[in-house]
Amino acid sequence: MADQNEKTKTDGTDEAGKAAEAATTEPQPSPLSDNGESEASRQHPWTEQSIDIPDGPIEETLSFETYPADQFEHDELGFDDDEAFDLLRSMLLQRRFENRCRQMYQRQKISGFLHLYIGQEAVSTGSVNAIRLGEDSIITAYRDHGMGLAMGIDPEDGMSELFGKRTGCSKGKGGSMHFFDHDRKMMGGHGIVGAHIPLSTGIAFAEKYQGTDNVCLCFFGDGAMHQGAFREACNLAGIYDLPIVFICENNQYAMGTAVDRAFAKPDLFKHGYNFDFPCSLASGMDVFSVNKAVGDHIESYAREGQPSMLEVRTYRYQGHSITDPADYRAEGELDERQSEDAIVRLQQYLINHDLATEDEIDALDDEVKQEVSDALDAADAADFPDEEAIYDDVYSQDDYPFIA
Amino acid sequence: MAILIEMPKLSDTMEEGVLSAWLMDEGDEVSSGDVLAQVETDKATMDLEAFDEGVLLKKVIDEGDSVPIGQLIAVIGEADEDISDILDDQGGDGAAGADETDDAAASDAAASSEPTPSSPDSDVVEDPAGDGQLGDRTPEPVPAGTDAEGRRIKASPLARRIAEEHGVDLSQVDGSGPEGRIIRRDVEARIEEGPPAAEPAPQPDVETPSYDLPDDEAPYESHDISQMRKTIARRLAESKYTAPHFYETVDIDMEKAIALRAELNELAEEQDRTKISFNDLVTKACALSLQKHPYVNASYLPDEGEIRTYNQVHIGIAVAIDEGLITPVVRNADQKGMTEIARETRELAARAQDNDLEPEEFEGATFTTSNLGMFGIEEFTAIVNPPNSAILAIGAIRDTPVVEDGEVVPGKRMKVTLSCDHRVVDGAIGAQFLSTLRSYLEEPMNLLL
Amino acid sequence: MATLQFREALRAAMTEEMERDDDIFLIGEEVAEYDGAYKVSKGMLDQFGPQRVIDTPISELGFAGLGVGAAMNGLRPIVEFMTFNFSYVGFDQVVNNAPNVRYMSGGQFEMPIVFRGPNGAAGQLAATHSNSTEALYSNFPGLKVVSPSIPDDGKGLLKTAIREDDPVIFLESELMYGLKDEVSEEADYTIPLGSARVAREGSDVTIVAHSKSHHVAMDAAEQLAEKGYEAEVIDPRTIKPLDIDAIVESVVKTNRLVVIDESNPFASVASEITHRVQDRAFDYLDAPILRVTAPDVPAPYAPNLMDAYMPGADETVDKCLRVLYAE
Repeated sequence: MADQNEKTKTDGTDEAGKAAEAATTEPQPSPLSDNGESEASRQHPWTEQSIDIPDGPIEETLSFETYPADQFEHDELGFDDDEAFDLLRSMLLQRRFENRCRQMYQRQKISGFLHLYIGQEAVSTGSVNAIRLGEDSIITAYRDHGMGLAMGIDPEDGMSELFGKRTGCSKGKGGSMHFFDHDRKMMGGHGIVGAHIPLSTGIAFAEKYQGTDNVCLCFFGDGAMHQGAFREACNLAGIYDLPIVFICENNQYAMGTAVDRAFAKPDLFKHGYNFDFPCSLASGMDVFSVNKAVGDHIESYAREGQPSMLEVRTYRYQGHSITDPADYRAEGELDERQSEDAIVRLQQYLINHDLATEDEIDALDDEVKQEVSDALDAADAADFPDEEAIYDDVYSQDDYPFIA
Repeated sequence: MAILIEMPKLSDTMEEGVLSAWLMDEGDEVSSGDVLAQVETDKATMDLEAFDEGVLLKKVIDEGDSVPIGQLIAVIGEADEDISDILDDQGGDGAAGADETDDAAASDAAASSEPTPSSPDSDVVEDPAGDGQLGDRTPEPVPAGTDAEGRRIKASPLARRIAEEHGVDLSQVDGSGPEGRIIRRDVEARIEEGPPAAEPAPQPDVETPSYDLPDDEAPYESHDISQMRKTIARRLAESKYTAPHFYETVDIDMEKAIALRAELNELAEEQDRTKISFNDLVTKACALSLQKHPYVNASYLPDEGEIRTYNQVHIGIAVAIDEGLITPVVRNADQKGMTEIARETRELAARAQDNDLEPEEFEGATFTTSNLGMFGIEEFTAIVNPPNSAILAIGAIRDTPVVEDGEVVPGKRMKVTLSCDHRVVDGAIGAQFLSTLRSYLEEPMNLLL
Repeated sequence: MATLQFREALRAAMTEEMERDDDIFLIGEEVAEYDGAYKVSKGMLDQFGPQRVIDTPISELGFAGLGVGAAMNGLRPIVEFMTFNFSYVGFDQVVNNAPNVRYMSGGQFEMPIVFRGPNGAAGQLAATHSNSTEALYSNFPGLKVVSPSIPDDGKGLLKTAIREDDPVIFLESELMYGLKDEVSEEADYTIPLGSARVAREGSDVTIVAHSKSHHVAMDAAEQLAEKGYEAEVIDPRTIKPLDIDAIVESVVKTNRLVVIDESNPFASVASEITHRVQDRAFDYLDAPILRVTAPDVPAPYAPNLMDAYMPGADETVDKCLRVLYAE
């Protein structure tokens, strides 16, 4: 890992090498990098970039770490046998929850936008198990149920939110796109594509400012990377040395637009290189690959004040939202991707490694289904918010008198 | 003065209506309340009622035509009035407004001043000459106090409030603001001056409709509108517009009633008691009939959400007086003897003429009668006296040939017409009441039991 | 009291607050090494160091969002827009994230952030650099909008804004940064949001104006006094929350109102005040409410056109005379 992405100078002449070095100015130390107390620690404000342009081409050799599926085992990642089994529970919970959401939408218990996470469960579970829950933070976009559940939001609170009930994790004010959990540092649940990416820089900035070694994982889809917000956030993270991992959850489609139709450079992990980030590519169809990749990025980079970029390739089984039949897929595409299903893969792994029997897995599934069913009952039984609650939480002050 | 009749909105979802039948002909005299035609809406066939007087000059559309709300249907006016300009104006797309030249002229004028006073709700054509002269469309700012023409008084909200607090009639105040707007200083100046010599009459509650008057040069006399007249105007207009009226007439054989009255009055003369009039007989007959038909002795009270049928019968009797009309009430008429009714009615009528009635003596009727028989009126319709649900219009007793046992013989007949508020009284109920009433008057001995 | 320029009063507010609370930091373009594009933050880098006075690239969307995220995670950012014209580049963060996170999280997250910088026209800067944003930002529930007209209010209100747990848009003016006036040196000098200042008492006509327009109002009031009319001049100071009570109270006394607002007229602060006054004080109005605003055109460049664009004292006097029926 250590030498990943290191710039390798060309084999040209010394002179050319020096010139190349001069032309590709080393970044100045961040103003925040040493929590400097003294004037002396201040960087100088003047430029040191050369305007002497070298002869001949400037060449660089790049390397990017990869985390393919089926490469990593639970024990080497630090999971004991029970913890490995719990990974399956987390992923199953998300899938059963999301399937029930579809049904509840059709029964009009859930309204508004509904974006399901089915197929991507390894990304949330693998990532959450790589952070220090409650210290490190996660921010994501609107396909957020799975991440919320993986972080420990009670399915009752999640389903109640979707039903618009006062007991929801955002008191029925947010709905599907806005799961929040302050104490677990689940920073949302955001609806505008790419708009939450700059927030991650602020969240990470606050950790650094306060002298913690907590990090922020910022998840976004392949589509969000087109937004200027992504580029601005990466640049700020780079110049301020923020403890952040930018994780592109590439599920292959931005709404209905295939990733390779929309990017001039479809190898999304390489985009981080423009900011001198370490960049890697991981399989999102194997929870262990995700866990290993995220863990490496956190411990090797983010906690060291180095922002980085990780692309996780995954696949959503459902349409973009509940109303999307996903007609844009190729024939057989879904079947082929489902043959890589992360839940099936983990079940097979547990059986092959004698960590669970099929009966135990079936029993787990029944247990999870019951949990989701209980969540539905609870959500159904809960009350909608009081009408007066429409005025709550607009401003910090209770009974804010100026709301007309 | 031509009056334009336009397709009315007769249901809340109606957008256009079909003129299914004309009920009047060109040249017919039209009175307010007359049904000019029937209009089929998206829901039902409705009466197209006239709200003005005049002659039906022109049916603009034919039976079976479908036109949108607001489109011209007919023109009412004076018999020999020339309405060709109106019809020309309407000739194009049927728009009821002025032509484009006038609009452009009007908006030019509007650009340089405040919007001019106008009567957007009036059906009256403001420019009968049709010459499109700007002066006719955009009159000079109207000084407040000349709003006999029905112009809105312009006053600032503050001026209105101060005027109301001090009982100042804004129509008596000159406005010094732009376009004659009455502003605070104008009202304050009026308060300083004290009240004008003649106490201005309070404004009626109903909005005064606006009409163009005959030429100012034409000689006329001005009469103050009395409070009683205003009350009559308000209450009866309210009744006519809110209570859907229908009318039922019955012809009553009065032979026996005439005979009975003669007998009773002979006795009365001997005993020096008040003589009994035919009207008293009718009052008593009504009172007894109302006992049996409570929905005719009732009120429709939408605000209370109820129809109230009264357990007591108080009969209001319309009395013409100099100022107008008043209805003293004979209370519990069903409990009273004929003589008592006669005496009380006479006494109330006399004091009504002297303007000497206490409010409780002309309030609280549960049913009303109006008798124009003494003027030789054979039959007429009356407007329900709110909150009653019906009123009986009593015509003269007339000599008329009647057929009895196959032979034409002289008869004594009297027509009475019941006006009913359809919200309470349906046709059959009215008819049953009239049937009872007739049997009492045709067998008047029952009145004495 | 000290005599300070507007910029110095604002700086004093930020400095005092940053001395009081380590969680407060200033971030924006040219705020540190350059000492502030308009020298509002002059010397603050020296005092607080680069950890707390932070230069950004030209990246409003990025650093506005950074501020929002930092506020969600326990800090109290002051985000400086070099001018509010540039806030439009970061608009999404200012209007769709900052004011909504508290609400859509069911109250789980605080949003103690100030977005500050100069607002409105500042001479011949033409259309893109002359935007008045106060009505726009006031349209977003969850935001508060402050727009002081004198240095003392600037100081007291900015200190309050920094202490708010809600996002505050704090609107200054390039043309007023050099304005010198008495400023309180009282320790902990704060002015509550939603409290108007009656700058001049009068009983004939009420003039409401904020920011630069406040000074136009004062000039107009002097001219009216020469004609024998006493104008009451009210500076609302905060646009949202708006101290409508103070305005209504004055209108009840004077029965007439002229609102000056250098914004474009459609759905402006002047529109809002006009609506609320007719709602609350209809029966006290002796004349229509008139406005003095920029015309509904982009800001021009040519000097004569720009003069015509900006609300002026003469136009204000004319409109006051109209509502006084004194023309």
